[in-house]
Amino acid sequence: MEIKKGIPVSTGYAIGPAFVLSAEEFAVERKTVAPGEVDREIDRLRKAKEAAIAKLRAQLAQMPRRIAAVAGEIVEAHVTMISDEPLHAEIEEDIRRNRHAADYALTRVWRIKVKQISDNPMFQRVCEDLRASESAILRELTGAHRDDGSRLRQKSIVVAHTLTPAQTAMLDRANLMGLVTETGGRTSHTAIVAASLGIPACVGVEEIASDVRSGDVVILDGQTGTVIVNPDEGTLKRYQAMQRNLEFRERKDVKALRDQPAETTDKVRAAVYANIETPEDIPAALEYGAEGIGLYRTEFLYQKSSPAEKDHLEAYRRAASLLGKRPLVIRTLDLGADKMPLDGLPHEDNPFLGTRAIRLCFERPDIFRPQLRAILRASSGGNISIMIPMISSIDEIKRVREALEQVRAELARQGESTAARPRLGIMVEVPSAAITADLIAPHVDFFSIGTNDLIAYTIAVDRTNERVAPLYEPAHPAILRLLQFVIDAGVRHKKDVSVCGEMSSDPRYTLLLFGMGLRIFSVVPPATPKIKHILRLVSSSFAKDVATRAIALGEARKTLDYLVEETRKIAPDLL
Amino acid sequence: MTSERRVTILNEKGLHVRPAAAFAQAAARFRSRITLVRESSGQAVNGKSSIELLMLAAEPGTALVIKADGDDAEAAVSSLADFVGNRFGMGDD
Repeated sequence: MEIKKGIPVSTGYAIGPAFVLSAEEFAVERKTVAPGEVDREIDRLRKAKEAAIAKLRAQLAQMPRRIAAVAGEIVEAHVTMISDEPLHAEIEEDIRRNRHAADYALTRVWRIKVKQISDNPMFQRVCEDLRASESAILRELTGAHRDDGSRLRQKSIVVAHTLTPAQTAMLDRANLMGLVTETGGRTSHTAIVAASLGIPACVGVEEIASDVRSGDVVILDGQTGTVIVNPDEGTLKRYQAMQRNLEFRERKDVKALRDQPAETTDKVRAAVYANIETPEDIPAALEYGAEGIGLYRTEFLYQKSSPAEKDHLEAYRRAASLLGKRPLVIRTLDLGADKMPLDGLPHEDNPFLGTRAIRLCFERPDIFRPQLRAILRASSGGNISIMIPMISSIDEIKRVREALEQVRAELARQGESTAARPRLGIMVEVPSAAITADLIAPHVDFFSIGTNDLIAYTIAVDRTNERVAPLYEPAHPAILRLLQFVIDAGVRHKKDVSVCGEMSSDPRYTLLLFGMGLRIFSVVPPATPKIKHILRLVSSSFAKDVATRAIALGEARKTLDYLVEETRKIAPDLL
Repeated sequence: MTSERRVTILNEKGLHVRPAAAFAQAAARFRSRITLVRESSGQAVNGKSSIELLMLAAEPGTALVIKADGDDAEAAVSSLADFVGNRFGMGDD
């Protein structure tokens, strides 16, 4: 048993086998096969070997001649290693004798060899070549790609050194029990994803990825940030009991609040919508009591390549059909040029301030138009709104309207039916948009405040950079002023205002936001009952009082402490 | 029939990937069983396996013994020893 400490970033308990997502190597688990399958495994290994060699030679053939002249010898050396007969005899023997699956036998035998060499610094390069050759065969054996956790064989706790947003997006959500990483802070991507999935997570756990093997039993305590590897029986039982208690309490809350509105004691109502990444998130969101979808992030569709109009349409129609009459706000592409799987885009030194989101869409109608067409086409079958990210000026909104009109005319000519006029709103996340919300309001149907980026741009802090992450404070007076200004502009112009950033999902800010006049919360699904719970306990004038005092404190730390104190008084077991 | 000869690694980077691959290929042309032994430790590896050869982690100056066992042992040892002496037929990289 080994106990490690990290930073808890998403609450709950998870107990189960680890799946170690390794940065360089393939995650190969110990696996045996039935006696009758031994010959098949050996055959699989031989074919993988041949395929790996064929692929290497094909790559060589595609190289420019000048490079091929140099690379050729190395490729041939790799081919010799991959086709090493004595070694393969050893691997086949391991398959036969121990009934190991081909990939496990390969890794086992191969790594024993690498280990013997790796002590000698002069041969580091040799070890790299050996690992590359091993990977070339494994890639064929395990289906052309490194095991990225996109198809977990069982419910697992994913352990990694670092999780990039792309890696996180690939994970098999249905079997994901929890996340543990070595890097990252309270506001890292891992934290966001875990919270949105309602699974526990812990970051900053030293050497966890190297100390844990796939298949090891891990206890992840998202309340305290404790990670226990291969627990003894007593510890295991204790945590299982704690997990059952917590689940029971939460299930009770969810059930009781699912069909209740977020309504104060004096009958002032707020709407609670959910943020989702794929239509498959909708059933769970509704189960948590969400009244609609306030933010459908469509980036998931762009994971591998640019989706076609029909891919968009399929997803949006599926979402609309799951929601019925409930609202669905679709946000158009919100990736930077640096994150797109596109060739030929110029490099940018500062993508955060570069060609992101709507800016990229204006530059690339071939990406933007299919999405707009699909949204318009789907809007005939649902309560759909369009939301544009990264808007910084009125001019951009006008350009979006023009593009929409063109697409609509085009669809009409082609005899496609579209809804009369889906509502068009913007994400308020660039400070220039927040500061001019009163001027922008007449041009849009709604505002949705994306606090994550608004905070980052306003305080000038990249929250994934651990050195400056502490500067990222939602309760910063500058942020509260911007929020108040946007909410007031919406009220004055009778335009809906929602908050869809994490601040909205954090129960510590519920009284503040509602007290400031916010009436639409768009949250991670598991937060839905929490928001409802708080609002149903207070009057609107109480929330207003709390907000006024919180803002008057004028310092992020003091404001937050005060909010925590007030929230604890009314809902002691929520925080 | 057995035969053996002592050789020294002359390549600047030692017995690394390309020399090992080249040696294994050269050794595979003979019917004899080929073994390479690290003189200092007695570590013995299969001369027809490039990966086993790498396991010797033989730096420049390492003394190795090439052993062959089979009907073409003599020819094998003589040819392979020359090959090592010729820096495995490659200029160093």
